[in-house]
Amino acid sequence: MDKLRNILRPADALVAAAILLLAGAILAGLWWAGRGEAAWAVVTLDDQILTRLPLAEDQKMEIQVPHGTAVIEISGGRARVAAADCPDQVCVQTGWLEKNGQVAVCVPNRLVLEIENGQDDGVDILVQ
Amino acid sequence: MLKRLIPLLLAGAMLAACGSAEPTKSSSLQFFAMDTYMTLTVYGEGCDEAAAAARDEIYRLEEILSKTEETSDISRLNRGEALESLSPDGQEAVEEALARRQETGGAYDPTLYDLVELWGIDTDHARVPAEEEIAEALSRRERYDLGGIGKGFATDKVVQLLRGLGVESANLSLGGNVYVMGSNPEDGDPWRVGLKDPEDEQQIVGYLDLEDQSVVTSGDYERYFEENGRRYHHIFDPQTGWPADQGLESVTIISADSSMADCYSTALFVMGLEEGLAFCEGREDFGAIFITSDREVFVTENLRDQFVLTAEDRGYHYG
Repeated sequence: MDKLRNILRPADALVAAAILLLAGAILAGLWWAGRGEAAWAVVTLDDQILTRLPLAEDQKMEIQVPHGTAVIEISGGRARVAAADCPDQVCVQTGWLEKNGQVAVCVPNRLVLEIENGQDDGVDILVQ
Repeated sequence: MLKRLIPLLLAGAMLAACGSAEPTKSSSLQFFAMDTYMTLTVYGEGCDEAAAAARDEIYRLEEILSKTEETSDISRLNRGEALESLSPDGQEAVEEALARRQETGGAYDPTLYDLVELWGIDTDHARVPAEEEIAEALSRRERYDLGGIGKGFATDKVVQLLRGLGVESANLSLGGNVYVMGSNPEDGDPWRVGLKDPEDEQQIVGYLDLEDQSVVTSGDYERYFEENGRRYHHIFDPQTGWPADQGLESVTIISADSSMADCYSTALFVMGLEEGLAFCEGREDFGAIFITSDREVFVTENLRDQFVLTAEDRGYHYG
């Protein structure tokens, strides 16, 4: 016992305990942070994030875009470009999004709608 | 001995905790180019510079291949300038496109500029043209539209650039034209690439685990307009001048060669299932997945072990 006390003085033991606690807290924090984050619909206009809308809240949002206006709709945990002033309507035709990696893009208006922290199909990348 | 060991163990504990917090360094860029949206994710040391270089390369190729930019190589070619007056990359793209037209018996054709303009796809004046107009556009096969090879061509150049910079892992989507480089550095596993369900774009129909491969899909659901309740998509049959109607919803090509994958996905969609499968016979440099309008899935033998069909509960089944 004496020998141990020589090696590990009370102050040392305190520091050791603090370090182990900190290590444990970091790991626990990382694990906790990875759980159950809310899902968002991210609206980007001309490479700037315009807004993040929670998928949990049904709403319709009208935004100004170069060719006029566009309507972003959130309903039932999904998001879509409901309407847009653009010649090809590809963004509208894309339909509802709810999973990571899914995007609706309006090239003429440089508008992008994508999902963050959404459901996962377990894939790394989607062919579109 | 113990005196030194305890601090070391403690340091180890801290490092372990901090180490597990650090994902592999990566750089992700998203931007508009080539009339579509690009997402590049590059991993490892120097990933920021590499991703930026890749983006610049795409912008450079866009200036060469664009059919709308007046100063592009293709526009100059379409105004009658000689092929030899184009940049090396411009010439290479045109020559490859013509070679693919030859290979596919014309199912992929880079000279449909007039036909595409006539139908007005992607404009607000998309319409069903009259037969005489279609016949006339088909007879004028001089102007180039490299839309069916451009993204694949750019992908190959970008991959070459990234490799030259020492990049080992990356995943790229050039307007949906995918290339996965190396393996996923987070777990060392191949990249999992999902294929969209042609009838429900929110779902995947299946996936493949791949390394150093490009995956390109041509489908009837991607770009279209509606007139009188009928849908007209953008993959034209060069023989008829109409959207290809051979009973397929999508064709996916997997290959290390992205411009080939790009051309072939279009060509095989136009060919239809029977002719398409015949075209694949004996080819080891690419694989194909066909999905018919009856939800039948056909996979070339060289991919059967890799493709996983996940949409059986939605009626998709192997043919």
